[in-house]
Amino acid sequence: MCHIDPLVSHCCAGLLLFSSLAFANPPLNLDSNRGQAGDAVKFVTRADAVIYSFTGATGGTAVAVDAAGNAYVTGSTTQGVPTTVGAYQPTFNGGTCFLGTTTAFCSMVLARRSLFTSSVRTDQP
Amino acid sequence: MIYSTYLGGGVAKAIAVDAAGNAYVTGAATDVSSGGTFPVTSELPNGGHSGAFVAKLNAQGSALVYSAILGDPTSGAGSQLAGGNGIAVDAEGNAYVAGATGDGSFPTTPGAFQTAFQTTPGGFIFKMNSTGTALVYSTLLGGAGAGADLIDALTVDAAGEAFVTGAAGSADFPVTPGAFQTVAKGRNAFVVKLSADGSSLRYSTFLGGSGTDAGTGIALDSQGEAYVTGTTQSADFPATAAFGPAPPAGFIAKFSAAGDALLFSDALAATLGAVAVDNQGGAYVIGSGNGQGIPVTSNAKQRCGGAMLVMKFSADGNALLYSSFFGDVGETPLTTSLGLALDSEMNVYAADSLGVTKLSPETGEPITPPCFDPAFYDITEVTPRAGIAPGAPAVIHGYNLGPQAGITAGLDSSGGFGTTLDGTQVMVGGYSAPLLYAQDGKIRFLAPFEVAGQQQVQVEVVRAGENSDPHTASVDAVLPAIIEQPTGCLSAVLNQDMSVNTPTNPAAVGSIIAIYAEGGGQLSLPMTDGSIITSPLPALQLPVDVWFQNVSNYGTIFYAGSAPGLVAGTLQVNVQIPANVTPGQIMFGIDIGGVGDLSLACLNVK
Repeated sequence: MCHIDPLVSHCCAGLLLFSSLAFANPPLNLDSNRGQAGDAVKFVTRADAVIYSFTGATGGTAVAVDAAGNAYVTGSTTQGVPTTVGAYQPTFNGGTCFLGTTTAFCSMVLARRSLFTSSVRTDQP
Repeated sequence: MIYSTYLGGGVAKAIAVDAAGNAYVTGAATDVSSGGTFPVTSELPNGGHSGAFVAKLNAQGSALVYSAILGDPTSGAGSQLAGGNGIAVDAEGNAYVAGATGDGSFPTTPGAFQTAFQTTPGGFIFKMNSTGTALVYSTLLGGAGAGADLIDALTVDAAGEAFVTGAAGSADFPVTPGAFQTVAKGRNAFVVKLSADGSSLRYSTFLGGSGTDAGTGIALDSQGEAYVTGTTQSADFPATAAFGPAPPAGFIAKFSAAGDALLFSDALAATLGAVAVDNQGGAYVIGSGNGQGIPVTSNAKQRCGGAMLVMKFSADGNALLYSSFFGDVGETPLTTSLGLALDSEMNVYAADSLGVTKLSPETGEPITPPCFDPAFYDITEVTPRAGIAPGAPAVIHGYNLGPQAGITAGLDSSGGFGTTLDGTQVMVGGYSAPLLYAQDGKIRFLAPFEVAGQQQVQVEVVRAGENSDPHTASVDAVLPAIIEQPTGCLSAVLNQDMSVNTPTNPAAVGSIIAIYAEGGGQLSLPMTDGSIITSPLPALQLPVDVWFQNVSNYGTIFYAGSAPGLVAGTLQVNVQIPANVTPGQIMFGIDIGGVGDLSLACLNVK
């Protein structure tokens, strides 16, 4: 029988153990809610490609892009949009126009996804 | 996100941005008398407090450079399009705004093309100086006929000459001799080129048939030839080509630089909104429709079901290079208010009521940048961390990070783990990280040893040429963690007989076990990222202790260093279980350099 050398082991059992525990555990899948009924599925599907998302846009939406590839979007909304700290008008006070710019609004999309996924640890028992 | 802000009350219709990042917005400000408010910083002669607004916001989105309102929708005949509908900015920061007004006292400037209101709602075009303090020019544009003349889109060439399109309700809408169509056949679209000083029409032409037609988008190519999109209900619309069956619902047309010839005109069964032109003359169009009769090309990513369409026409208008729906099945098609822009790489940005989508210029396929949450996890994903440690595995969660099915890395030709896995890369402080696993929602990578000594680094995921937002990760000297399964008392531990430690196969008190761990930081020998460790075996530079539940003494360490046969950064610690440990399932942990393991691993002892 193979025994651990107190100084070090060269036995391949370590590799097998490491693989079984660390490399082969079920992958986390944030999209585990896909395929279920409900509005969440619709949103999550669309969120894959939306780099700036908002709700309640009732009027025009327009977009411009600067030389650095930042996208600027404007429109009007009745339900509100997330605003940033230090923005010219961070609060919804009856006005409906909004304006924003982004490189890739991942954080907004991720935040919205969290509304529809109970936990990021969906692969855990 | 760079910024996101509200901007008073009203409806924003169009946006432009200058080289300094200032944003220019136009639209219709809410009528003060109905309770709305809109900030006004620039009181212009005959300006108002509701009507068409133009606002310039600084690059930080924190302050208005200026905001002004022209016209009053409550004065004179109203219109649903009252307000600014198109905006552009030139290199000097002058803003060009066009729209529609029913205000008989809408401010105009002396010498402008049309200074007198024509009794019915008409179009306007004005040029505001860069500080918002004065109108360079302001002109009305319309006829005296019974119908309203509405401008819906504007663009400007390098010479400062404005091009507008919209819908002419007046049969006497001003046109120029020799233009393509000087007589209205119905309620037709129009295309107008205004001189740089706003005093005259370079050309003005109708475009349409015997029904109702309207221009909704306009763009220019490098030759100054105007591309116009719009909607049509004219069975006899002057199309040079048709894509799909009649009757048409929308059109794209291209005019000669002089406005005297229609270079092409394509009609199709989708209503078309904004248009943009690339540096080869290809025209990108956003539109909408219910799918019936709408041409979709074979290379379309989405052949049916969406509410919005993105199309690309060839420069000569003879070919539809791609046409694809995007959006979700069941979305209500929009008939107006669809925005479109191109970046310097000709990627397409399409805006609708749900947001902005970035699309491939070649196929119209949505481009999905990788995104991940700034929380980092150890390889067992038990405890989120603020950062990473040299050589330690890290896990990030997000989406678009890898293939849907997931892929586990194997050893590459160098005998180690590579830094690209199915098109995914992770950049850590500018170094490519070895990858262990990549899937749409998760990446496992190894922090490069090169980040040792840094306080923090930027972590970025690159997939299919698209970069994620960078996230800042702190760099810890060590982040010790025993590799484990989160449940079932299964840790990466071998008993002295080399069997795996499990609840049914506990280790004996006093025996030696091999613990596999991570996050030990720097080692006694230089490490190659992703390599498999062989002799000579590097040792940990910092002292190691292994503690066991309910005993105050540490286990005796016989070896603490790299795990042979495993990837660089994986540790093996051989330790003797103290004789005073109580048998059962106990917690144990590893401290490296005085830093403890936060994951509280479980060990089976008999």
